[in-house]
Amino acid sequence: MNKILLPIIFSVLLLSSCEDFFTPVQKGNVPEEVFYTELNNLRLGLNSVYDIMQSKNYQLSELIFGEAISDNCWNGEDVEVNEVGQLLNFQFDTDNPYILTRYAVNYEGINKCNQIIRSIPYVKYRQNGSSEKEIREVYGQAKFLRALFYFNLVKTFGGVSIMPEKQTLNSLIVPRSTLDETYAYIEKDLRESLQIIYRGRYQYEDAGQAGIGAALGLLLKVLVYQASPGIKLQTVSHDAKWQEALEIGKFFIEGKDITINQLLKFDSRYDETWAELSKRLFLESTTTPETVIAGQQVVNIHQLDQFDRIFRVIGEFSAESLFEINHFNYSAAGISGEEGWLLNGCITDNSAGDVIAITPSSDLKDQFANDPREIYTLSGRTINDYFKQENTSPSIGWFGIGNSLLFTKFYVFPSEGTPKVRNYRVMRFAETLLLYAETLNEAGESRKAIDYTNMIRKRARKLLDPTNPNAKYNASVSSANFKDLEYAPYDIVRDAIRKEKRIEMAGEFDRWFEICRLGIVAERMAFISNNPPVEPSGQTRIRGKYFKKGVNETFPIPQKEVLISNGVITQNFGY
Amino acid sequence: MNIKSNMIILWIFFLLLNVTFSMAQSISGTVIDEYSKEPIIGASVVINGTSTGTTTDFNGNFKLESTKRPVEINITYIGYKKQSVKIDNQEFIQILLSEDIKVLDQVIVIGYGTQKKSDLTGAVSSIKSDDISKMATTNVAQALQGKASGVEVVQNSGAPGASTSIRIRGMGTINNSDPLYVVDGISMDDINYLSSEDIASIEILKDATSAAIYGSRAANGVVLITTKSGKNSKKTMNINISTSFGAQEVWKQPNVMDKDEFIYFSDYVLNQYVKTDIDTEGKLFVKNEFQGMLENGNNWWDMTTRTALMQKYNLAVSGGDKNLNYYVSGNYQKTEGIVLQSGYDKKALNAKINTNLFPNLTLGTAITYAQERRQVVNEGTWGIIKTAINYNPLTPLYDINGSYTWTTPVENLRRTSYNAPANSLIGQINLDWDITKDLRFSSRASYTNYYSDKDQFNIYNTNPEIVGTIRYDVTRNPTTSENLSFDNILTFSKKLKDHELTIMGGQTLETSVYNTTIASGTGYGGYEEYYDALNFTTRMQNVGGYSAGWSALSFLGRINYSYKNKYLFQSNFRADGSSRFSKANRWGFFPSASIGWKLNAEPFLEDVQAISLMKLRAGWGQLGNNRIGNYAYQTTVNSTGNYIYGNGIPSITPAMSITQYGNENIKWERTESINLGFDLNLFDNRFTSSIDLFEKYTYDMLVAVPIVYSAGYSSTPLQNAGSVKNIGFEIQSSYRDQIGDFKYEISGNITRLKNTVISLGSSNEPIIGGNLTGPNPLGYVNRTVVGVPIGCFYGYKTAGILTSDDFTTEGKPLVPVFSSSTQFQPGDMKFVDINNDNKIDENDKTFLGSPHPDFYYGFNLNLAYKGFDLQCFFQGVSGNKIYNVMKYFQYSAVNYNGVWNPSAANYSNVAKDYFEKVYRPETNTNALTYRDNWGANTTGTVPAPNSDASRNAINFINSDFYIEDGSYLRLKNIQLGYTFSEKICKKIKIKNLKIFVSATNLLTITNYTGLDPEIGKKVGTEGNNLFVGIDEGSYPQARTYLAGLVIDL
Repeated sequence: MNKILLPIIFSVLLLSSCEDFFTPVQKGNVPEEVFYTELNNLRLGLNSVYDIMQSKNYQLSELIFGEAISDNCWNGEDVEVNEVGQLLNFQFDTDNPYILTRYAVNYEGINKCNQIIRSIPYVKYRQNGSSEKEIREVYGQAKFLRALFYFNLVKTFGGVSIMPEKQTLNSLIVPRSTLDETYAYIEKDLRESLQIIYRGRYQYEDAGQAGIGAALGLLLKVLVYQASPGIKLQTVSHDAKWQEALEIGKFFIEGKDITINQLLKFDSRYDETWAELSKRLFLESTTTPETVIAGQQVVNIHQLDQFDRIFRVIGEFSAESLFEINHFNYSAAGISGEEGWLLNGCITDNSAGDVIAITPSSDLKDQFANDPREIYTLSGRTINDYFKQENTSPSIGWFGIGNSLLFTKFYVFPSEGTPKVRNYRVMRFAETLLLYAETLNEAGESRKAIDYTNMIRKRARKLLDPTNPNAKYNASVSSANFKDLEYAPYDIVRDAIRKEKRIEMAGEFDRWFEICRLGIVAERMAFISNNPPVEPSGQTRIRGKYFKKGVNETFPIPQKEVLISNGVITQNFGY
Repeated sequence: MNIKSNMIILWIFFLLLNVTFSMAQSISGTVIDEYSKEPIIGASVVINGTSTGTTTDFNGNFKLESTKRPVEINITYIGYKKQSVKIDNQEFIQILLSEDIKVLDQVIVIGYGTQKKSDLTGAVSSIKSDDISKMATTNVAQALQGKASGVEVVQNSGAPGASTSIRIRGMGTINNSDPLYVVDGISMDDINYLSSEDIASIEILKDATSAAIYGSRAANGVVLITTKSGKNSKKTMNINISTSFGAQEVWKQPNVMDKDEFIYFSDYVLNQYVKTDIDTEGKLFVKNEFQGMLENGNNWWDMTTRTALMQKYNLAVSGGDKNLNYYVSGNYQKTEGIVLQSGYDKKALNAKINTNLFPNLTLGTAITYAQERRQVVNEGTWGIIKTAINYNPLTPLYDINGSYTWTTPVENLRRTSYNAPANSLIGQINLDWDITKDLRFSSRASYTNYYSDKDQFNIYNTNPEIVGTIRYDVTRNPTTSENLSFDNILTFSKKLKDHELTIMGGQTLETSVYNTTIASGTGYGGYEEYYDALNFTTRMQNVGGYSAGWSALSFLGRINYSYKNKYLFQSNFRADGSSRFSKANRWGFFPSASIGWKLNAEPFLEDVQAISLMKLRAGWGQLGNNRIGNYAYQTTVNSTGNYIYGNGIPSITPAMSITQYGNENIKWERTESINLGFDLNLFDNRFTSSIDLFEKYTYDMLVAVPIVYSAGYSSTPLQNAGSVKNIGFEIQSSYRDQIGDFKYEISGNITRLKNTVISLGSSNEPIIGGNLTGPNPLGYVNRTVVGVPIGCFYGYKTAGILTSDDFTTEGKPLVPVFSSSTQFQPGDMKFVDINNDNKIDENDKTFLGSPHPDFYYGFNLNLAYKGFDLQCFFQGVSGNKIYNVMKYFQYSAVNYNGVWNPSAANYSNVAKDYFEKVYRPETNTNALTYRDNWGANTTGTVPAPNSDASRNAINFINSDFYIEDGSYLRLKNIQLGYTFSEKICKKIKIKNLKIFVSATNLLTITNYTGLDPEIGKKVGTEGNNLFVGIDEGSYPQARTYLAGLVIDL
């Protein structure tokens, strides 16, 4: 009977080592729970988040929702009946694909951040200091980036679903949080990020990632957005947020020391014990809530650079840049992938066939009267002398806007390389200064606010300095007319700062959210509706005409999302 | 030959014996097959009226004791006519048994065992090897078409060696619904390597009752294939040689204009006299300066197709003695495709040896090695068939420099080569041990190794004269998969009076490893095939590859019980554990049970002589489909791009993140089926019939249920969410008889099927499929939703053409039209306002028909007279729809501007009946236009050509304009054979000789206007069922003429 028993014994043996038997060969895909235990792989995970920010989907969405739809722009697609046109004219359906992309691409980024964050406790590392440092830096960036993606969402859609870091297939549908809850989540991420993110500016071979300047800049902005008298924000306690913003500004810009507790709001906002938090965030063991961080550590990390330099290729990763996404043209080397900047067609090239082509509105151009920054920001149908020095003539006339203008801020001179080498500047220090100026003004320190605003203007005036070789291109502007702002009462200062920001930040994908935040979006939309550009083709532009006050300040949640969630994710008011 | 003469001597010897020992009391003899002259082993020899009897031994000999003379003995053997022989004084007798055409009760293979056909309680179809080898196919699966009820076989392409879709009792899932193949006990996904000559029998397990023994892999049915073996018999050797030669041709010309018609068409589209003019008699003629264009024009279809040759050789040597048998065969076949540069060839070698180590212990080994090579041409919208049909007939073959015109189909073929070689090695060892009379243990270990490659070479330049501009791409994709299996089965069978019981139990395990590498690159150099090597591709080199595997462990069992051979019961059980599922869901259990009742054995029918078998069958069971990714339950990380760090010349670093969001709860797709059957055989089994009613309900179907965007994944995990129901009935029947020397058999089968999607997950989100892109912008043309069959066509309904009656005198439309800035005019397509909202929009899309037939059927007529035999085999489907994408090119006058430029590549030829079908308004006598030369055609069904692209886009939008009836009836095979008489064979010293001529696809009756009504799945997407019945320029089936001979030595 041995011959019967043998196979039976064999089978039993097999069963006893069942798990091995049922673990077949697998090369080419790494199970998540294996992958993220390796320290090195955290960095690969972080790269995938940056890869999202490097994608055309992400940047195009920033361009459309931040700039194209605002009062800064006329677009070739304003007169189209396609989905971009419908979006720009507020005649879109809730299943508009660009709204969906904006929603989806930011959540894709959030998901990739969550993949890193949820794995941190399982990472195997050697306790040698440098391993912990690497974990902290990746962790800090992941938190910062997650905050940025949520901030994009909350600005666009209002309160959104906060995805748990660990998900199961059955619990993917998460009801939307309120606006306050969403902002609180963002703020917490940023404040925690400040504890662990690299306390400096990444330069040279490390450039292209977020350091503490990025986190501080974004935190200040997030606080200001909560404090501002935006239409949707009236329930928020403004004063408190202005005070918090002031605290961060004083630390970052003025170099005032700050305690960990002030940065984290540990005493008032945490249920965790300090030990738990400290373990979770990989803090150094010596750190306590009372630990003071010297303002000197951060105050000089970022500063203003020359205005005619910061948008050039040579000005990439300048000291003014808080956060910048790296692009490079590898096509000559035969490396595929989207490492190059791809928005050129939408902005300076205006080539037919791209999703959208933006041009500055005449209203925007008017702001620049006698401003030396104009020639570095936008140009008329005849390209200005500064850009003409390399005999270039970007095409702008094809969609027939009468007073065709062109954003030249992003232009890459042929001598600089192909447009693809251009980096995507996400945030720069000038914006932070202006946000701080606004904060100071709101906090009653309007003289100081003017001082900070004038830093920006002084820098602009330097463009006219005879020592600047480019000054000659600005001959039509005189430094006598372009003066510092004078001290003035609160509301005059407020308007001056707003105007200064519109000029300084023109074309940097921020204007729409700025006017929404300030609560002036309806009035601005009415303005562009009443002041259409001259149309040689006789086409009528209806931009702004169909803007619905109280509704269109936020965009609808994509209809598919509402459907797939069976209505658990609710639609915004008015859609 | 020698054996023959030996036998004659033997026979004479026996006669002498007869004389010598006439006084002895025993009778001995030998039983021999009348046709093959081989001894019959195990035939029963019984003295009439007594229970005294015996069976023949390995040499066909028997010996009986009998005191009585004369005596009558009855000799019976399954499959042979019963014979009674009266014995007076003979001591020795030779009995020649002839095959009984009436008897049906053969033993068939049912998976880990065999069963008498009359005892079946499930739904099993059995196909004779003859029916397979008669078909001129490159693939055994193709030969099953129309042969069995409930089995729908569709060739995905007519290209030699192309894949075949088999659907047993309907499409059970939107995913892969091909059956499991089991060849000599080894599970296979593909049986291309098999040669039809080596096949002994094919059984198809159609319902859960019979297939549950294959558990998690059997949801789509099981095809059991048994290959030929040697026989334990007297020491004889059989040599079988068969060969055939033939030619294939295109059976239908494409419906396109020739160059003479096309030159008028080009002016017709423009509605101007450009290339043609009108003479004084009002007749159109081609202007002189364009005569050259006509001369240089080409018939591309003729230039890319050919009369293709095929040849096949087969040699099989088999034999054996008491303790050993063997079967060795070698096959070679070479088939050219009717399209140039397509073809298939196969070489195979088989060896099978079984030895009795001990009287009750048999060891067997079998090895098969097969080498296939496919020469592939691209199909589909960018494929060669589409191009050859629609390419501009006025384009010259050579350009003015004397080089080939770049984009012509001829050049297209010349500059690409695509080979797909594949090698299969299959080996197995069997051990069969009869432990006791009732208990048998079988063990089997097998190893299969399958290697395939994809070898592509494309050149991208017209002009070899210009140095450095000839670019070529080289791609290689070698893949190996290895499979190991080990089965151990114990079978106990016992007959006690009225009770017959068989219990089978066992265990199987299987592991599989898959490795693939892909490498491609671009190089610059010459035009010759010497450059077809990755070595020369110095640019854009790309490599990739991965390994994967799975393993499975199963336990199985079966009980067969019959009482008085009247009441039958069978139950199967299988437990499968698979690595494809997470630990919690690893094991699946697949039970089935069935009963049968032979009414003819009951007293009330016993006396009805006409009824040979009357049986009721009923069965229920559950099956699984494990065809999902190897790691679908896992969440896995993979490369997702790069990011770059650093200023100046930055360094590129890889990015990785989750690319597959796994569903750890994933389980098998389950199919539950019920079968009710009724068998009726009459007149000594001359008439046989079966009717089966079935319901097959698939649930837990894997569907990519959309997940919320806020989850942040771009991949959608599969979930067990959908369900599909197939209900239907099938009838199979045959009648055979003999009138003198004239034998005939009529048989047929028909299947009626209804497929319905019951659910697609919690939100029942429709699944859109059949995405048509490329030169035709039709988009997604089918839609799978609850309540209709899988993959139904979905689009706008048309109601002819808008005529002037549909417009006011100011040109305002009186009927609903698309809400668009386009000004519609008479001659544009008229769409039906399905929702009656007075406009045509997205909401007016509706279901336009199903790609699945209502019925499919096959019938066969066999006639034999003396040496002659004739077989006619018909096969057909009815009620299915085909989406004829080619109509887009043939009627849309696409690329209007191309008419100006005779060498414009992508504007296409149109249908030959274009002028006949296109709408033309009533002639305006004041202003005659070019088109008026053809007269008015207000009942035309094709929109008038116009230069407005947006109007054209709407006219030729996805609609029922493209939908055609796909029913057909085909004389699939007709064969006439002649078997030479024994006398002649003897004279030339062979055992048997048969010659035959045959024709495949000789006749096809169909209304379908495309090249061939048999449209399967899109080549390249065979793994799912969402691209079915769409003709994007499919490779048509060829008509084949064949002549051949079969010799037995």
